[in-house]
Amino acid sequence: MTQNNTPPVSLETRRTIVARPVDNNTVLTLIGAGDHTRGPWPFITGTPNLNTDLPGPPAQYLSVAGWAA
Amino acid sequence: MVGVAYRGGIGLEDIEVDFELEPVERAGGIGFGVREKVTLKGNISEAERVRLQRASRYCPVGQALTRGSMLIEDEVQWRSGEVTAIPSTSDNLPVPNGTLTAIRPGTIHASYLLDTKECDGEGKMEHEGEAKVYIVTENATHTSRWTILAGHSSPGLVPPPFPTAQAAWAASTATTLSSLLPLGDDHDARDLQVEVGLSMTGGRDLAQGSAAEGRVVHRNAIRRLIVPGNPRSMPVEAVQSALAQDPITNAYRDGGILLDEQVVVG
Repeated sequence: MTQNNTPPVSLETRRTIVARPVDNNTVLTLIGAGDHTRGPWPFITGTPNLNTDLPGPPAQYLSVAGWAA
Repeated sequence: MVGVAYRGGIGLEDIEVDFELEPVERAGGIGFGVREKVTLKGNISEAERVRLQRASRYCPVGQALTRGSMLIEDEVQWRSGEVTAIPSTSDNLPVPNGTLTAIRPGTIHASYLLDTKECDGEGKMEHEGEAKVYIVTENATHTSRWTILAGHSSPGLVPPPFPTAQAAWAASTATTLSSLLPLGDDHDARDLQVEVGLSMTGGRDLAQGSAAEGRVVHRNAIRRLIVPGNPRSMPVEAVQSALAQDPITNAYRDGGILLDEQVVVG
């Protein structure tokens, strides 16, 4: 069984998420950009590589961490 | 699951969740898969265990990763100002300009923080509380470890689980674009930006009701990809081709990342 009763969404929605590369192996992501009531919540994600430490988990791990929570 | 247990009068006293994450070969690239083990604590009957197992499969993040619940609209905006919707068809796309780094095996362990549950003066649950999540995986040469918090609590200090997962999707998209777009000397990866807008209508009541009933609820998301250059120097087909490789986008479209699942009372 499925349903879709959610309205169309726009990027002006309060729960906007913004992600930007910081360097070749690192992305900075902010949840709740523009929402002044909660957060904002930043996350750093990284890509395994030979040259630098990982400042944050790969994005797939963060995704499953959200599931685990 | 804490919310579903509370709504169903199930005597769930504590819960721990473990995932093993591993690379999985898929058509056109390397995806990822997970093996899940949920350990329930409390006086829980077999029927209640089955109900909570269903809740795990049908929570909003589980639905997104395994049931194709996300309805995605993509658009690209060039730094030159032009904007266009990205077609859903993916025939005759160019070969991406690079390769993605395969995920390395690792583990995710979540513990429920009992003392973060919030109740009103009559003992009715108002917020399910927070979870502490340990992540362990390998870099190319050594093991790396992180801790994050997520959940539902009133102070607004930790993000809810669903936005956390969508932040991961935005981050994955940014990583994929920076790895596969033809950036070269003319375009800087730091001019890339990924924006995701989510429809959150229904909130926890809809999320927990659908999880308890095993019902897929489609959720709309719009993803805007801001890329360097203009439509001639950075064709929309190159953006499409890169997106077709993104591991979380493919999990949303194809489902199937759950390789094994155990829900036990322990």
